[in-house]
Amino acid sequence: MSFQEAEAAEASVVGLAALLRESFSEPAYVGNPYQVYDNMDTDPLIGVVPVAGQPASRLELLMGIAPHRADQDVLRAEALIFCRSHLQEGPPFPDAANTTFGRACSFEAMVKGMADSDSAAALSDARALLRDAIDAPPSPLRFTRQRSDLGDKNLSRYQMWSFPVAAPANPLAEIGPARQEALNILGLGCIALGEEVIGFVHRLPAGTEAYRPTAWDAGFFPWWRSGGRTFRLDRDEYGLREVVHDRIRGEHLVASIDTLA
Amino acid sequence: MKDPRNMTTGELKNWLADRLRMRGPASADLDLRRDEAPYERPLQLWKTAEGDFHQEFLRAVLALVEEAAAEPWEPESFDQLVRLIEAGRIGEATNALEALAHSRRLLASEQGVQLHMQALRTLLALGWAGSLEFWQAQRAVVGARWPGLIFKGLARHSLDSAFAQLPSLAVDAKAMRQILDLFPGLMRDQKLTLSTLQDLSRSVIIHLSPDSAKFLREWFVLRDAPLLAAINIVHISLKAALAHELGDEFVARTYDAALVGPTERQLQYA
Repeated sequence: MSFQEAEAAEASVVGLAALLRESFSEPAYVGNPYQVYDNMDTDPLIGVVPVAGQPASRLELLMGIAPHRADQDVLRAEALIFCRSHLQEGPPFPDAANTTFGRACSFEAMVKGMADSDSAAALSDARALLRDAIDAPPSPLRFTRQRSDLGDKNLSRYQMWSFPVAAPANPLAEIGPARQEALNILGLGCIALGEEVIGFVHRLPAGTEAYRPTAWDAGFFPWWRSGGRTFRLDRDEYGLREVVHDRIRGEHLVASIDTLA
Repeated sequence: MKDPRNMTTGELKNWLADRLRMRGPASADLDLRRDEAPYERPLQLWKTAEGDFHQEFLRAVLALVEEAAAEPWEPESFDQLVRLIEAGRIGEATNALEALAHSRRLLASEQGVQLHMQALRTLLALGWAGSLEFWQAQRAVVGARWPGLIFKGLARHSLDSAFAQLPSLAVDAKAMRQILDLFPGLMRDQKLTLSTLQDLSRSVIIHLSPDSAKFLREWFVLRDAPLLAAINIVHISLKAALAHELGDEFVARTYDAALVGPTERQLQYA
């Protein structure tokens, strides 16, 4: 079930796996510079050859990048574009409609979701609106206020990565209120030191499905591991179950948004 | 991928265009997990640009504005171009955007109204104010879909003018919501207190549609600062009225809500 098997299935792609491995090497990720390639090479949800109803196969990736084998930069770019066009192809998460999900992201990530191309708000307006919502003082109306102010706003720019919450009454129990532990357990190595991190819980709107992520969803994200769980940043250990789904709006929040201190 | 700092002018412009339009290899490394917008990498480059590269970059951005006007981009792509200008505070683009706004060239395309709105939004973000007349004239173009933008443009000149137009801008709950979304930024930019906004809102609320008025009231209630009714109708007591009619000395009485029911106008406020 690896790229080598895909090469064995189609002579025209022989040699591409090695090129792909090199193009995806990331020396800065000291644990394993080839982690991104390894994720794509070993994800059990991804097959060798195309199968109807299953995530895109490794052979499809290799055939897609084959015309670019002479230029490693373009090869890498085309592989990432391939990933981007095969999101949410993993198995559906059961009973997503009745599940509460949690998510942590940077403050700025949410701002970019809110300030979309149809919005008359400047980036600074979106920041002020979100700041106003998050800094609302504790009160019985705080959550109502947040949901009212953010109701029609997208809370991310692209698809969301979330984790199912076991006890909706205690929504952030899994990640805790502390920023660093939340980043650790969710494996969010993409969030820089000092970036403000916020957490929230939500339900999916009717008709929106959640899926177990594949290596195509992860793309060039070396902190990801296959298996349907996050991978901790601080030790070699899996964290929480995770899903990907279309972005949601503020009206789908089920508890208040808070900064993780 | 070649480092944009080492590109020729033409290469840089093409790279920027592809990046902002999410086309091909130039945009392949967008970090979706971080919700990276296409304009962010160019923004980083702009912020650290020096000397010749600074000039090259500026030329490329201005050329793209012209290009997008001549052959309009998709709104999502043009949005990224003007977000770059906004976030990078590229004031040198103000003239080009102002010319677009005045000429209304963008409106010629199918999705031109949205492009025009994006240009206006960016002008305001760059600190450009236009004139009251300009924003009044823009109402017919974008006011129905983006009343918040008109409100913001008017408020740049006069808060009183902006609030005076509120009843005709906030024609329904959706329009009111869009304007309310700007209040936090307005408070920050113009150093307004909540009580100032309360006063301004109170002065126009009776002229708003019921839905808009409800939304406005709720906005203040959710901030624990309800818009209390301003009682400007004096009800004299029955005793004082009788005394007045009978020619006795008129004695002013304190308003007693128990003696008189609320007027229709007060009921609207409550």
